[in-house]
Amino acid sequence: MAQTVDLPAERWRADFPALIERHQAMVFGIAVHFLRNRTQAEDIAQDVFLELYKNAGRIESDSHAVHWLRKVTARKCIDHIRWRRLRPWHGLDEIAEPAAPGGQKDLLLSRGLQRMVASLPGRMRMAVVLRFQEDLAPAEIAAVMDTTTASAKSMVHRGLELLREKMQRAGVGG
Amino acid sequence: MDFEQELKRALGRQQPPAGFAQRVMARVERRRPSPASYRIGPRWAQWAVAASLIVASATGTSWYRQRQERARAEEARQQILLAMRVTAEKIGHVQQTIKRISLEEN
Repeated sequence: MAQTVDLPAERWRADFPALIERHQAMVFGIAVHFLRNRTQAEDIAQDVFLELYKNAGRIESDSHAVHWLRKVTARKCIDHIRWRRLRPWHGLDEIAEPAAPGGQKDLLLSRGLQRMVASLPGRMRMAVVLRFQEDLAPAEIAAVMDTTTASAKSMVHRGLELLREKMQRAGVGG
Repeated sequence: MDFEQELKRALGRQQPPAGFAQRVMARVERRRPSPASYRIGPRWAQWAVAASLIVASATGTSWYRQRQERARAEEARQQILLAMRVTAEKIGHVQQTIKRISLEEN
């Protein structure tokens, strides 16, 4: 998924707008699937890129930047829900969408799945998002989330079990 | 239904609202320091300059105090010399007066 482009330190900041364009869908996607709130997801995505800009000197290549972006996005999202637990906030994005017109079964299924993913416990939810959005293997998820491969594997496995249970309860798919 | 394929479809990457990159760059520009506030030279050189200024300031203050004390001592010495000269003149004057009176009496 990630392009491998060498980014020497001096050229790095000049390329920053292009780097944002290349990776914004990845960062915003992780945040929005995790938080299910577009406003908060954009705030977090902006903070992630600002932090990347500040740490420009440490980034060695585009693939390093991709790993760094995933790691910081995951950390900020998990920190954010911990903070939100202390200060509950409900934005418009969290309010249920109006029913979609008939014949949009796939869209409804996707939205239902997104809602169910967003209801998983924090770290498990992040592991599932990284597994299915970014197509990461358990070892890569472990590297992003600072945990062991066994723990990452277990979080994805348990997450899938919970999602299947929720689907059955809701009478979706199956 | 292939559950994992459905999940992949539901959790695809998503583009942020239009103008996202511009908004990030605007925040970057706001945080960038003005050219006047850029650091000059490496950090060790800044510390060396600061230490030199402190030492120079302390040395200068000490030299200035010593110079002022020496000036006050010199002034005091001049005043004592003047007082001794005045006293000597008065004593000489008194001695001359006594000598004149004793000559007149004889």
